Amino acid sequence: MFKFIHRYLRGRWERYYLKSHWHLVLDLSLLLVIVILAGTVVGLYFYHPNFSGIQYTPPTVDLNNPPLELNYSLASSSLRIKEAAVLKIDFKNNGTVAIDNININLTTTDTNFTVSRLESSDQSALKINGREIVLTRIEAGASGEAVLKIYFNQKNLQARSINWQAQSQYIFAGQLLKATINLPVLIIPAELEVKGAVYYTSPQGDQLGIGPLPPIATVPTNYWIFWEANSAYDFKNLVFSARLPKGVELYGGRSLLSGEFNYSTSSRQVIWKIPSLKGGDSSYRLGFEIQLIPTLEQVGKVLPLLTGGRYYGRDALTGAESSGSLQPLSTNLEGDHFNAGQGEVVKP
Amino acid sequence: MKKVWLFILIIVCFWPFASRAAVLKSTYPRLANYFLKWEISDAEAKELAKWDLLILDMEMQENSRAQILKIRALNPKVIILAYLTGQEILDDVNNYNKAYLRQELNQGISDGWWLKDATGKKVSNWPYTSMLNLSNGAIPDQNGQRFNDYLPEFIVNKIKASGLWDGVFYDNTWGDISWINAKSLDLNNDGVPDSRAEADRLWAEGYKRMLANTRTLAGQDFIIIGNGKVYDGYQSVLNGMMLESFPSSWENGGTWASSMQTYLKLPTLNVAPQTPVINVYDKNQLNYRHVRYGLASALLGDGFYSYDYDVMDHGQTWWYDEYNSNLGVAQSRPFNILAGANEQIKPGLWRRDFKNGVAFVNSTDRKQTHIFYKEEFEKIKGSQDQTVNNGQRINYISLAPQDGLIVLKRSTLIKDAAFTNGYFFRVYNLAGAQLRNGFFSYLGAFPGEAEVVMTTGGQNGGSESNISAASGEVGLYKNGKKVIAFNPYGRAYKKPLSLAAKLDSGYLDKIIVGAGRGGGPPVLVFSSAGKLEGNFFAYDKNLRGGVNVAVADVDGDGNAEIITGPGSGTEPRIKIFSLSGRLKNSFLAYDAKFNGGVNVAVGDVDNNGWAEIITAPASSGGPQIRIFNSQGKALGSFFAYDKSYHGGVRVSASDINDDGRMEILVGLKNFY
Repeated sequence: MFKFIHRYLRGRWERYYLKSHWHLVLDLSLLLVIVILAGTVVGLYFYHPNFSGIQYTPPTVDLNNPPLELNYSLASSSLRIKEAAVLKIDFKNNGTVAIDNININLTTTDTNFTVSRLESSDQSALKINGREIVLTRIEAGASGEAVLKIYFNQKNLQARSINWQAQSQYIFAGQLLKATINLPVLIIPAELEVKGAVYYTSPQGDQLGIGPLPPIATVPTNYWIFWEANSAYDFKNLVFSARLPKGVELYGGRSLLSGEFNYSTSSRQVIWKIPSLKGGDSSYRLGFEIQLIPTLEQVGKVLPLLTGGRYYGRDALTGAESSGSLQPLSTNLEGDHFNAGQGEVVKP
Repeated sequence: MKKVWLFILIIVCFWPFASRAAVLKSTYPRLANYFLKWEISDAEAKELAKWDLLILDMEMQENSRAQILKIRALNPKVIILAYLTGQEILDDVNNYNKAYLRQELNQGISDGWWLKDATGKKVSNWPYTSMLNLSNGAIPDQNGQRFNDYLPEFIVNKIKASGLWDGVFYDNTWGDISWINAKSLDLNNDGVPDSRAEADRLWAEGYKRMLANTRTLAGQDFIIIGNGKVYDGYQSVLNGMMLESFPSSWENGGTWASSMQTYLKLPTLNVAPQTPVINVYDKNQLNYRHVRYGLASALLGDGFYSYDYDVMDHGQTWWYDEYNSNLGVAQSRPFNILAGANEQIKPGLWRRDFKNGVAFVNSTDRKQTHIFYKEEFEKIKGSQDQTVNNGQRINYISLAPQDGLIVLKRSTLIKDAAFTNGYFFRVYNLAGAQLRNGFFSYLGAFPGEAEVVMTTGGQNGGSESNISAASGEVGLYKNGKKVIAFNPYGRAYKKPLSLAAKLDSGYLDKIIVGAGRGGGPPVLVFSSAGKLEGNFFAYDKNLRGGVNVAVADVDGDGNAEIITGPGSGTEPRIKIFSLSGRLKNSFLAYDAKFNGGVNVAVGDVDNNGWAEIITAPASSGGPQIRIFNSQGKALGSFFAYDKSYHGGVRVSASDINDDGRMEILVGLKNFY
């Protein structure tokens, strides 16, 4: 390089500058002009001096009104823990330039729950990178939406609400812009697991009932009916009720782990009341014995043992009502795997 | 002083031979064995010790003395009678080996005592035997004695004096004789055939004299039983009669009703203790219907029952499932269900109630079905006739003609031991055999899942005491009313409690409390009035799995110990403390890595006189029950429920079937 410059200057010296000093003056002047122009360009680039009549408008960020709008909404504020929360992200680039690689991180604000997994069927607008969402590019003025499925892990079985937030960040105009938005609280609905079953022989093989199977007309057969209530969460004022059909009578055997059992002979209604059900406790079970004496007219029929079963209770946290029907129980003993199907009354 | 020592020495030496007053057991079934071999083995002696009344041939006195003593050692309450035929003797008795007593009896028989016909020929009723003349027509010997004098003396001097026997069994105590050789019997030895009436009169008079002499000489405590057609004239002397080959063909036509009429009237005629016996024989050992029919018939009265092979071979030790049924004391008279509970004896469906069960007999010629609308029973859980004794709970019976049935009453109350209210309990013995059907032990007066102790002290007229422990509170109830309530761990403590009660003859003495799940390990000892008497930490103070408690004398020192099992969170170490909290022993009930907690109970499940320690996993782990002695030696182990069940089980020990032995009760909260 130096050789080249040396050869070039030597050539000009021998050819021009020795002949006339004005050539040298002219070259130096041109060189000076070039340096000044280059310095001006560089200076303008870095220092943005204002010149009267010329306005320069570089990209700017209004932190109160950032160019990127992100709005989050949930399909439902109630979430069964094994299901996914559906989160919609509406985005709009209000800026004049495109924004690339917007990262959104979804996190819970306490240790009761953690985000376990994200899913999206829309692969064009976003990428999912572990528990992070990346909106790859939003052109200036563009808008759109992304729908995500979010799954949670429950660390505290008693916790009912998921408090969470979205943390977004991107670089705009050379600046790293971050935003944290609290997302709508998700409530885990208190699910009441209710079970009603009739047995002659227990699932462990113990004889609970007594009398002939299949039932014989005019001969009593006794069965045991069990009601059970379970929930991970607290409930209050739980009431089970059902009616004994004609020909079925309440018998002496009883086993009540909690609550209060009543029978109205006039209405033939059995009622089980549990004032307070503590979540996670398995102590809510009622067993009672009934006696069926089929008539000769009922020969060949499968007879109902308990009808009109209903349950009702209130979520102790939200007050939300939980209610439903209990499956009717019959002599067919559907849940009794030792005796199922032996329901048709036979002749004596 | 020497005289005193001499007296004591005499008493000690002759004590085994002293006359014993037989006491009948008050519970049923009463079992008799008519075992007429002349000699028995040790093995047979061991078997025979299971019966309540033994009729053994008198020769065993000489041939199997040690075995008789062994029977008595194994069964101190057994009644043993010496068998002999009072009216005949073997012709060539001197040629028999081991017929020592018969030979001795024979030696004393005078020529004038043989029963002869009018031609002077000896009368025989059984092969190879000759009959003796029991009447006063027999010719007295040189001492002026007749056979009806001689035989009672022989009984007293040779049989009773041996000290082995409680009484005598006279075979063939007939009230008449003319049926043997009606035309030519000559009881009065006048060379002229006696008329039938005269022969019968003389025979009955003489026989009665013989029996009366026996009673006079042997005393009131000596049991005398006869066999053969029942003659009312003898009954005031006898303790009972055997109805052999029941229904006996010679009893008023041989029907069931006629034999039963006789059987049931005997106790009103006999002297106490009345010991009628029904004997049924059948060459088929496995004819269970026949066994049941006879046994259930015997249970309609207060007598004993015997079942064996044949009239020619009474010598079996056949044992039947029904014999193991502990029916307890009788609670009703027999009544005929088909005749509106009438007691008039005729073919019917008969029933008699006992404390722990009921006997039914269908003595009709037709199958009989009966439904119990307000009762339920449990069949015997046997190993023989599974079609009948299958352990099922029943509310109706269907009995074949001439069949019987023994059923058990249900007991669903756990007494004198802590149990969890509302749990489903299975009943096991030490070997892990399920003895009875499981049941829900639930008392509506107490909260579900409360620990409850029901004491039996009140059953004898005392004040019934029950204790319950739930939600941090212990309540003491008397006659159904809560009289004391206290919070052992303070009012703020609302968690479950573990409860144990030290009882004294069924009455509450001390209350032991442990904190349940979620509590610490302090054990508190209260008086029966709820006053705190002591406390100690059974495990590390920082543990919060609670502590499970039981109380009983587990080492046989006469003092109760507190046994603790830890709650979850630590190794399964069982600890034995004195009531004051001094650690006496400890051992691991399960693998050291198991930390699900251990529930404990105590009860004398092997009948050794003191309690064993029973353990169960309190949570997680399979439902494996283990039984230990106080040294931590494992005595038994079994799975009480399906091995895959890991929800934890509770244990208790109580004599649920009233057999005098504790059963192991294993409770389950939910069985699905």
